[in-house]
Amino acid sequence: MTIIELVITSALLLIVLLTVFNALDSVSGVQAYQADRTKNLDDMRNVLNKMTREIRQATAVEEITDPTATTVTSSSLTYTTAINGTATSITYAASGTSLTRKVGTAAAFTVLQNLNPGATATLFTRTRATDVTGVQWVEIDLSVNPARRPTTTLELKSEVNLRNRTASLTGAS
Amino acid sequence: MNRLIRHRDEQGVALVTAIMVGFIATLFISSMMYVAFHNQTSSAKNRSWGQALHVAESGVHQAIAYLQNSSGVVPATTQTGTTEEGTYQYRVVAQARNHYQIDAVGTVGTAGATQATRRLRVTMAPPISFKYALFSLSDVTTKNNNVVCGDIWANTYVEVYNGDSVLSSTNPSCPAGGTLGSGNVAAATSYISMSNNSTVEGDAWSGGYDSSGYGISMSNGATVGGNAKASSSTPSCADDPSHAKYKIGGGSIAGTATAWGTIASSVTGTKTTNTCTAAPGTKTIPPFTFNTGNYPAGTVHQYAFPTDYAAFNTYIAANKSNLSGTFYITGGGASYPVDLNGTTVSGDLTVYADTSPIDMTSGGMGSTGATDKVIVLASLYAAPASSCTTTGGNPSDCAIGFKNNFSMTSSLSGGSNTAVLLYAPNGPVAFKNNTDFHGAVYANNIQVKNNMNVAYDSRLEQIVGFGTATLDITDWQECDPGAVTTSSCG
Repeated sequence: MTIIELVITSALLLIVLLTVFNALDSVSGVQAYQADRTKNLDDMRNVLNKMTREIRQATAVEEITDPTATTVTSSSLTYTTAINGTATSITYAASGTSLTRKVGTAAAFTVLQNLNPGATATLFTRTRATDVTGVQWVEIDLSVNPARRPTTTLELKSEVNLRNRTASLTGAS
Repeated sequence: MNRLIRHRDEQGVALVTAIMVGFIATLFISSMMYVAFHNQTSSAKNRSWGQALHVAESGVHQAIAYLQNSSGVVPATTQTGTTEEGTYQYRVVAQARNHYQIDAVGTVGTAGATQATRRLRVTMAPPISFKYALFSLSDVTTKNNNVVCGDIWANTYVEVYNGDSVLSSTNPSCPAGGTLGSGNVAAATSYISMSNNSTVEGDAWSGGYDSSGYGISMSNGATVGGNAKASSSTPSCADDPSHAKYKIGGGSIAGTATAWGTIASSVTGTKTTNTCTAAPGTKTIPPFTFNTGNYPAGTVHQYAFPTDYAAFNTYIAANKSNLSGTFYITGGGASYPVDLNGTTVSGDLTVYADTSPIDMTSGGMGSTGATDKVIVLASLYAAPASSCTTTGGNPSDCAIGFKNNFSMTSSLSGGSNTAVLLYAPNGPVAFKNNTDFHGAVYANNIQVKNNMNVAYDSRLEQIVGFGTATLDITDWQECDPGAVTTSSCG
């Protein structure tokens, strides 16, 4: 083998290796990104399902204080719902990039991270009904920015009709 | 020779490199496929999860339809059904006094990772209709040493006379176990007058004013344990630009006081004057609809007065020491009062008269036996409040009149197994002298005199026939997944 052959071969091998490693790095990054996205989605679904279930059967929800407002958005929500058959006060609150849950008077704990800080103010939307007093619908808008790049936003929404509110408010004099 | 050896070496490197690259590529592809498969499964599971709730609700509504078709007769066994999304099972358990527990399970997806099952428990019951101890379409007037445990509502004014007390249901002087009612008094469009040493343990809220301009007028020793608010039925209090009305005066207020006019009371909390707040607005009495299917078979007695007047009285006379059942009386009038004097109730009793008054002004009424009982006395008889006021409850004067010895409990705080609802949407209800009961009074007008005690009883909150629907969903819960027969609901 001549020196020229050796140089050309080495150069070609280097190009091939660089291409392969570049591809591997890219695939690895995509895989990690996908895994992170999946984990965030799973966490969001779990939290959203739990909140939806509890709010749907809530007997009392933080009311809208402004008598002229039909809809109000907020970063926190307090409601009373049945936990193992016992009426329990639950508070969800977004602070920074974390969503915390507080049960009764116990300390709040984090249930979801990486919240999109630009969307926490509209995390909960409470809407009055027209035929009964008080809040009848709660819309939850979870928006999360997974830690892995490229920066993306995952968003899950749930609109909950409070099943126990109509029954407890209609007709009672 | 050397050429041959070099040739074999090159071939081996290519193979090993190809295998290694292929292995690594396979690893990454497998990993990505796993993530993609997980995402797909997760999405499918989530879709099934959402659909399972709808399928379970289909089961609930199928059960409701069954109850409607069967007039409240529950299916003997667990029922099944299908929708386009999945299958459901439901079971109905009849409970006391027209309450029904419906359990439904919805299942979506084939067995495996994407299958989801959700379980619901719904209670069907008469709609919530009665929350106040005393509710009047006009005024509530009390006199001399009465005790009310619960809330009072009047569409016009409320007079709390000397020594009267309106207490929270949790007050030690009230029956144990009471939860509804904080001892609040509301006069929707008029004033609240509290005489010497009277007590309102909760809030006092007025929507108008008396002849002296007081929204809430309190005499010596009168106390409000909560907040006091003198509001106006006129938007922005435009009817009183000089703040001469909607005043609060006298007595003491433990909470805050808010008024458009002046506040002369002793106030522990914040005192806010010159502030216009909206009056509570008037309320209506829940309507009553009679349906024989709402009552146990064989317990319904129907009479048409005056034709059946004698037959009714004969039945009452024969069963006066052991009275129960449902009595639906049409016709009659002031000359044909429903006379229940001297009767003793032994089980659930409903007496409904669409034209005649109900009279208990001489012999009173009592209850017997350890059985839990609900008494509903309803009269649509129309009479002016004025005549009932002066006589304290005589036939033709009041829609429902009680005088002396209407006692369902030996002591107010001692409890009672009998709850009484007095319902007179067109006429006054009057009590006089030593009338004690657990229950509620909903009437066009209420007159209370001399040592009467009434404690709101939550058994009256939902009574079949009252309200805009016979049955309503009064409780909706999602339980942890399980069989439709599972008794617990976590």
